[in-house]
Amino acid sequence: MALIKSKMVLSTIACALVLQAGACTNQILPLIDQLGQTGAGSTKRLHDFYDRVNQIHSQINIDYQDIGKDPPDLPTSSAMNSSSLSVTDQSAISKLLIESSGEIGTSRTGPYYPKDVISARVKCGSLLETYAVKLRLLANSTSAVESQTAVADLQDRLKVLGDTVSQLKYPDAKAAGTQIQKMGNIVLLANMGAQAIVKYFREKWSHQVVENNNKIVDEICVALSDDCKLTSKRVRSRLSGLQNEYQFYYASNESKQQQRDESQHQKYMTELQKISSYQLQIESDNPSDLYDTFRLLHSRLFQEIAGRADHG
Amino acid sequence: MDNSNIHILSEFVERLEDQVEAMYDNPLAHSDRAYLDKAHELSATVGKASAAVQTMKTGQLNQFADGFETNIDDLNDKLATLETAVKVVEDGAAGIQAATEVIIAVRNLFGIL
Repeated sequence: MALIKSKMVLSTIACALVLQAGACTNQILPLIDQLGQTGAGSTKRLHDFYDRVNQIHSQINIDYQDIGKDPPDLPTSSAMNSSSLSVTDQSAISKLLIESSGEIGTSRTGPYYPKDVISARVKCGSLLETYAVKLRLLANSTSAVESQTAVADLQDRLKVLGDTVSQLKYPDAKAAGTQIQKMGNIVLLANMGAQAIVKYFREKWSHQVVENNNKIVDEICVALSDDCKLTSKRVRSRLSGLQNEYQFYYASNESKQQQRDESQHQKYMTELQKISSYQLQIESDNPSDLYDTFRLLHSRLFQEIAGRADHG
Repeated sequence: MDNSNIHILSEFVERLEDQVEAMYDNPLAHSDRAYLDKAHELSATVGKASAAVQTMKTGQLNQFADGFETNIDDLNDKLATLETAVKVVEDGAAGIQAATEVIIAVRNLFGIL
């Protein structure tokens, strides 16, 4: 009777655990997996993007020199507030320049974005990636699941063997069978205890980690996404400026003679194609969408966890 | 500078960049030297504003990194403890596997191999 009672208690606990694990699997684990997948490899993509942008800015400066001009659109040029801007925008820019302590984060002679500018962005990107990948590790532990399967299997085998032994017509067979069956229950109990600990760590800590980091992840994602958009727009603007300069240069009286030369015309077309390919490349390399997705997934994850906490 | 203000400033500069693109896209920029120079001047001014926002952002990101690094260390500690817990489960499983020897002994005893 005691054995039956014990079995009933165990099966009730097992059902409760399965139900709980199921709820977690349906909502939270897939989001954590998606977050891990989004974060994996993102640091390299971010680093490559800024490196590529710097290469293109350098090429723009070289191309201006090739047509005998100083790059007119560098922020380090002497340009003050442009007359093409509204008074409100001019005033906002003046205020912005004062607030940024007059320091300009780009360079005229070296790379457009210096090393420290890129490293601040890559460091934050790298922390986001580490966070997503490790959170996924924290929430999923396949080895523990495998252990659980192995143990559950053994428990079943002990039960079958216990039944078989009990039915044998040998002295002490029934007592031996009962012992074997009890062993199966001990196996199950020990396993459930350990699994409960791992489950507690996985869920409680995963939830706590997400809650602790929600604000900072949100802020870093917004900052990186904004920055990639700004970086992309700046290089595109400068490419458009260069494109117009080429059109002027090759249409000018001085170059009309050269234009009749097929090779010069070919060079002109090649330059325009190069600019178009840069524009397309920047569009596709820009990782701002990745950080928008990361932010959205983390926000949904946080809401799921907060929702579960609200509903007990 | 507050983080949400830097976000607003980013959006402001993005709008200015659109204005630069619009000037460069204007057919006058292909034929009128004075107009193209004005477009370049606008581009340089917006470049200054963009660089100023990005400089602010560098400071902001460095602060974020400091705060986040502490949290990542905490996450690493949690992972290490979880690994220990998993080891407990695995060791438990290994111990239980040893019980198979008992099964074999019983099978031999009763001749039910």
